[in-house]
Amino acid sequence: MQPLIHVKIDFLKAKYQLILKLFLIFSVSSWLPALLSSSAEAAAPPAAFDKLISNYKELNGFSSDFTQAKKLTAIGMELKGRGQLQVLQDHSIIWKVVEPALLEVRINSKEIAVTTIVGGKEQKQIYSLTEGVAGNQIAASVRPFLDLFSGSSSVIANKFQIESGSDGYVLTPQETTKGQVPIKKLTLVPDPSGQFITRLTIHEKSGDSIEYKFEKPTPLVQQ
Amino acid sequence: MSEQKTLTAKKNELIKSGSEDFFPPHLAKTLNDFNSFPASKWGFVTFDVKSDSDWRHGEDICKSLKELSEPVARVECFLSPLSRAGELRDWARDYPLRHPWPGDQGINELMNNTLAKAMVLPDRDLVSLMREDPFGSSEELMVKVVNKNLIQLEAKRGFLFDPLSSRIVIPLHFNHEPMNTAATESFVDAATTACQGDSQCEEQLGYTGGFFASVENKKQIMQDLSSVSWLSVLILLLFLGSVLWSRRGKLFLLMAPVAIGLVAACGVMLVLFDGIHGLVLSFGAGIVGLSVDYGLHAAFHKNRNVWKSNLFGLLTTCIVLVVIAFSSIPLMRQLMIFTLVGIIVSFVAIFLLFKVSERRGFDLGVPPLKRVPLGNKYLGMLMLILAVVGLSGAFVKKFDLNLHRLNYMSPRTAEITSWLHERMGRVMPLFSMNTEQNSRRLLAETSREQKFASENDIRLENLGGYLPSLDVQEHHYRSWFETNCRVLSDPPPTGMTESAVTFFQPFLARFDCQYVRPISLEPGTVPSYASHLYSGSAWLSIWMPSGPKQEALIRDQFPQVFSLLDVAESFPKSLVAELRWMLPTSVGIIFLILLGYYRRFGLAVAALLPFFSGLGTVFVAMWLGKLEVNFIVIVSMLMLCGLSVDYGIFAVDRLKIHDRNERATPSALLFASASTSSGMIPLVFCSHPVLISLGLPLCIGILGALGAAFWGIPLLLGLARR
Repeated sequence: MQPLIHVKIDFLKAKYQLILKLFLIFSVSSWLPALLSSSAEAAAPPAAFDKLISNYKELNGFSSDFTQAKKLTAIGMELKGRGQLQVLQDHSIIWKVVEPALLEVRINSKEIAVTTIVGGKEQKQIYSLTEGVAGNQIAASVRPFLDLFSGSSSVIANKFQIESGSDGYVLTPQETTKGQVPIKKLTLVPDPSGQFITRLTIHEKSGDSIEYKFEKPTPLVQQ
Repeated sequence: MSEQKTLTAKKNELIKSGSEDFFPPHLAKTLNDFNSFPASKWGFVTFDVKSDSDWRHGEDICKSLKELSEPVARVECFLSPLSRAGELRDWARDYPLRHPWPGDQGINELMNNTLAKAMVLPDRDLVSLMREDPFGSSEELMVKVVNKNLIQLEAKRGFLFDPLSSRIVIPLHFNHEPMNTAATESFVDAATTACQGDSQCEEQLGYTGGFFASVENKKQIMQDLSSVSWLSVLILLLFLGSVLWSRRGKLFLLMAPVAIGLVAACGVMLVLFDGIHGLVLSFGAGIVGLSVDYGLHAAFHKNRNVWKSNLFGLLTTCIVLVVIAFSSIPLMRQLMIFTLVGIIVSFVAIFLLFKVSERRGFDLGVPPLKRVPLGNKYLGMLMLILAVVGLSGAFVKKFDLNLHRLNYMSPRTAEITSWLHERMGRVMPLFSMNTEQNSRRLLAETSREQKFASENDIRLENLGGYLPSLDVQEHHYRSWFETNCRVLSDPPPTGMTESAVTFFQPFLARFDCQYVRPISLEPGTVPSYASHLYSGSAWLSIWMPSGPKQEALIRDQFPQVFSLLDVAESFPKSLVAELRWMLPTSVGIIFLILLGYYRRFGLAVAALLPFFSGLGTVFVAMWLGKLEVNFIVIVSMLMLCGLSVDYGIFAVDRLKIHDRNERATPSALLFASASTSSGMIPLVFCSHPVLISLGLPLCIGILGALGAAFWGIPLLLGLARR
């Protein structure tokens, strides 16, 4: 028969072990929801990213010169151009291409209108921005531009996972939107001060990519 | 299953439902030729948009319709060059036929424009298509897609849109015939399903065009017939029940000769016309059914002293049918021949039935009713007045024989159709069909049409809008290829970038003076972008005048143009012109026959009284109900003529040969009118104009004819004696 004191010690040990286990379980369970919820919801964008995007909102309309290079992997070539980007107060975008030809693209939440000048005459073509329609890749591809330059990082965070990369950010479509968007990922490279985007690359699922290099944005003159 | 399909196919071959039989041969050919053009087979689905959510509904509707798309129809929404990729390739290929060589600078400008768009538009399929369209031809073609519709629309959010009514318009170009309502109905179902049970969304949907009209008419007729079927059954049961209850069940035997007559009529039609029109079968059966009146007359008189009356009754009915059989309208001719054969064979079969029964000792006679209407001078006066109304109305009454009046439209469809006509400036589009086989002359003519349209600011969709004249094509072609067959690649134009050479390689690889040739429109060379205007032997031009002035200009310059209204109105114009001499001629001949039968003027006039009283009753009823006399009413009046003259002969003979108190003739008349009316009364409760037009006038006319037989004739003969 064990002495009584040994029994008492064993009991206390067991009791503390139980309490310890309960404490661990409780503490795990208390941060587990937080852990789960933060990965289930869009993770809050990094603060610097948030600042980068909100700078555009503060500009309340801006223009920025750009150069563009589109890589078409199927034919192994690159299409190059340059022009000027304007984002208006109502968050619609005017994409004025100067090279290889004069072309203006106006994008708002409803449609994309492409105007060219041929033989001195203006020709306009309008494409719907109907998302969710099978085959309408234009809408799904153009939306990120509208979201990026509207200055709403939370909207972007809802659609993309934002990760910090070596020199910028990598945006990958969320699980919920992956099937709808023909984009594999976006990479953003800010300027050293983190004020504006200097380079934006869209990597399409098809393997094609478009790289934009932007100059510093200047506010639009208010009329 | 395949046996069932074979039977259905055979049935569809034998029973015709087309509208060609409504028109004289030359107009039927015009209509037939017009219907062979793909461009003639269209319909609009419309959707009213008031908010963003309505645009989303519109998108769902478009998606739903497109799922049904090829090969059943082309659905024009979510406008994009991708939906016309095949046509675009031909269109891009033929650019040098439409435009002269623009020079090195010009060609580089065109290509750089396309490159710029390819850079900007992130749609891989669209970019692939652009590689085969270096000159940006897709914009030209998409402008034509927007502008070729009957009304001026604009492109908005991928739809054709009318900003004035805030309405999305989705044109459908069908590949099937309008009578294939099942195929068209699938589009209606698809659009409705897209609303996902949202009743407001369904209310904002609309349909217009001949194809949807066929569906709507068919649905309404089926709905009407099913809703009155209980009434038909009830009335039939009441009638059958009363016949059986009154122990006159032997009368049912009279249906057998009528059936024999119908079968004989069908057989003759199949031999003479290779089929029977549905309307001939429907109306003809009704008229043939009138032959049962002769059997009733004989049955109530127990087969005594009635066959001479019956024979003259048949003769007078046949006169009307023979005279109208001279009509130039195929449908009327077929209806008269069908009825003539049917009624004569039925009559002979009824006569033989009675004779054979008599010889075999089987009495087909039935006792007369115990009570019959007595003479009444006031009612007699009324009948005489109605006869005067009928006689004068036949000459004075205007007929509204426009076939569109027989079209059922739901209130929503009527609203949409009215909107369409309003937007078309209340003028119908005009068409011309060019059968010229010489391509040079054909293209010269279509170019002339284009020039005229352009000078007068008239919208025109024709071959000339897609291909210039052969002279111009050859001139442009020479400007591109005279000195170099591979003008764009060997060597490339000065200033053409390496990017352009690589990007447009699929196009440049085949672009040479053999790939592009002036289009001679030989069989098999019709370009896909213009094929909707080609029927296989002729080219269609569609003029869309904005108002009466432009319409007059077009008709003046191009007298061969026609509108569908012109064709539709030709039927009533022909019919009215023919009826104006046929009806008086028929009545005149009938009168002479009656005169020969009775040898007394008064009796001959009296025998015609039920016809005019019946007619007068119909005119009064239609005047009170503000109804028009349409084609179906005319056909029902033919039935009235057939039975009412018989009533007149029976009633006059009753007074001349029998005792004025005898009850056999009134009994026969009551049973005859009851049997005819029992089939027509349910139609009075229908909504479809065709069904009401058949049932209402005939029921009313029978009352008038019966009244004249009971009260009018005795009064008239009494007055004549005095």
